[in-house]
Amino acid sequence: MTDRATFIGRVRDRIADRGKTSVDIPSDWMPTIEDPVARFELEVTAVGGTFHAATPASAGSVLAGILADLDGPSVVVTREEAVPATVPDAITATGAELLWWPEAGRERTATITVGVTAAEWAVAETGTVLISSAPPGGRAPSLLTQVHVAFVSVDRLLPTVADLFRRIAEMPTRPSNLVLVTGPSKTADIENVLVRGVHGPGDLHVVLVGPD
Amino acid sequence: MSSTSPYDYSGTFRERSRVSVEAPAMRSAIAVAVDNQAVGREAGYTSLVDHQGLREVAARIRDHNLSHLDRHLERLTETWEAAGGEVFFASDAAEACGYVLDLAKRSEVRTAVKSKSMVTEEIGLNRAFEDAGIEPIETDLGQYIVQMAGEPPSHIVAPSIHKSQEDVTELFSRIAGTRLPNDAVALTRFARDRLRERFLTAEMGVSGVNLAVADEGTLTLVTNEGNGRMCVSMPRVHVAIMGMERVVWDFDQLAVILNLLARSNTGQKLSQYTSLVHGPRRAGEADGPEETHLVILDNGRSNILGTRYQEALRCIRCGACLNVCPVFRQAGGHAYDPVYSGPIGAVITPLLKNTQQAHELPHASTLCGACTEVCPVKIPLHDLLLYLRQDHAHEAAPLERMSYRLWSRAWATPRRFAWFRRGAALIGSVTRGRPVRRLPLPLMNRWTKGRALPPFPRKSKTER
Repeated sequence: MTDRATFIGRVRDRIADRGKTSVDIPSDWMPTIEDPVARFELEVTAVGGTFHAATPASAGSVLAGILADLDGPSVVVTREEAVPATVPDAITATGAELLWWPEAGRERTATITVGVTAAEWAVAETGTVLISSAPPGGRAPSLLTQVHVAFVSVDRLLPTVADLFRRIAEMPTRPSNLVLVTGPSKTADIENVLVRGVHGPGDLHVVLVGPD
Repeated sequence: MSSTSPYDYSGTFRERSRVSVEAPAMRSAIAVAVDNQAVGREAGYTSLVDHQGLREVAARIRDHNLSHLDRHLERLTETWEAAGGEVFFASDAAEACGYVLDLAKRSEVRTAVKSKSMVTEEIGLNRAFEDAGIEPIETDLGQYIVQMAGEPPSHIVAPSIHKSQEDVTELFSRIAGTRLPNDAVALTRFARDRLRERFLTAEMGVSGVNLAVADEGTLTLVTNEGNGRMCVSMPRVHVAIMGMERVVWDFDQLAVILNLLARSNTGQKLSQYTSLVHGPRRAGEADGPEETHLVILDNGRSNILGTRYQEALRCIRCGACLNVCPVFRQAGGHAYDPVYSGPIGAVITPLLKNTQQAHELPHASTLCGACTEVCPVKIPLHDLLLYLRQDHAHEAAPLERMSYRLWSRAWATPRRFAWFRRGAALIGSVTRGRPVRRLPLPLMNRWTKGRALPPFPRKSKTER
């Protein structure tokens, strides 16, 4: 067994004779995003997701519209603040079964059709949403379900991926898991045929919530 | 020469490549796949402000990481432990496997789900699991396919690139015990259902690490299917294994590299899922692993540090060099070492392991430089291949060395050179200026096995 000091000492000896290099990352390498909302919509669509715009009042009916296309769906909703208050009532009004996260638990969540969560941030450049494991959210609702619906407030929309990483670096407490979600789960491992929904959700809906 | 199965590494590169070269279906499957990725890469680059400039920045970031690797690894250890994770330093494959197996036994692991990781191929972890009575299950669809077929992966990024849909139908039908439709969607659905159950019951999740962020105690894992998210989220214990060079300092550096990684591979701006793993589940979090272990592996890498090959350690395993390589295209991944194939594999394999087969790999290149041109971290791959040939030349076959010496002596004076010219003209008059397809002499006829000699002129140059 190798102890830490021996391991790192060996590395140090090997690089000792070589000069140390430094790097300055230029500030202008990221693209300029003219109209973040329009770009976000474009990119979400381009990566195979579905974009919706809503207000806190209309968020419920947007979700009802998503459920209407599904066959007898069940829905698990996280108790995150950014999930609009109109959402739960809208779900029960469609007749769909409603469960809450984290009470539903992992095993039950794995059998649910739709997972409704908040996103911490969104990125216009790539159509990305950031999903956090911090309570009252979690990992299973956006991962084990077949359809993932993420609500994100328009004031959490950032221009670029580099902006997102700056915000992550500034987070006061870091959850154990953050995931940049850019489109639904997919594969092309069988003869380059694109198939959605390998392990994660095959459908991703992103709902950008603006002021009423 | 006997025919070689795709996963028998006993022969020479030429023998192993025969499997692909003599199977037009496999060759065209590889060509289609690498072309798709190459087209995607071109498209992906156009969305960058200054693609060439960003490659330069990325190369300098990686050089910075390597020149301070001791400090970066120390910092990573501090921050990862502060996040509640555990760190183990492994000098070689045996130490790495030993640690994982001990941990598995302590945690009463029967099944380990794995997301695609070349470094676990490098240390032979699946074999070690099996020998210890633990079932390893590959969960990346392509990797699952090759595991079920009993083959090693043939491409760093797309492990089952050499398999047709019919091959997969055949294979999955055998596993299912019933005839499955020859349809990619149905086959994927079958794998999803089978693996879903495994994710929820496995006691251990094993992953690689795309890049560790030293100052942030964060491991980055990039996947398209979501299997990486599963492996780091569902089982009670998560073990991540990384080559010790796969570290950047902070999130600013990570952002640059991530902007190039997926673009260089499939042309996506980002892969579907980029997981940032920061230790085990926190108090109050509803799900996630209770233990997270990080294994940092040397296994020969420190021998590359401080040498003229150090730039090879910049590699971020995007697979772009494989996709543009004319030799990979014809020979397929199985002609190379079972772990790292293509140009980067031909460079690092002989540096990581000192075998005759490894030293043959740098010769399996045309030195065309296409790999160097696309590499997002600007590794001078074809230069390194040439250095490796130089280093190995003094160990070359004595007969070959002797023939080169004789040749150089023979042409050393104008008089002797003229004899050869006249000899060539003599052959030219016999063959009447036609190309020579076969040499009649033993030894020399190996030259004409795969190619024709150019036509000999009927008159020597000075007589024309």
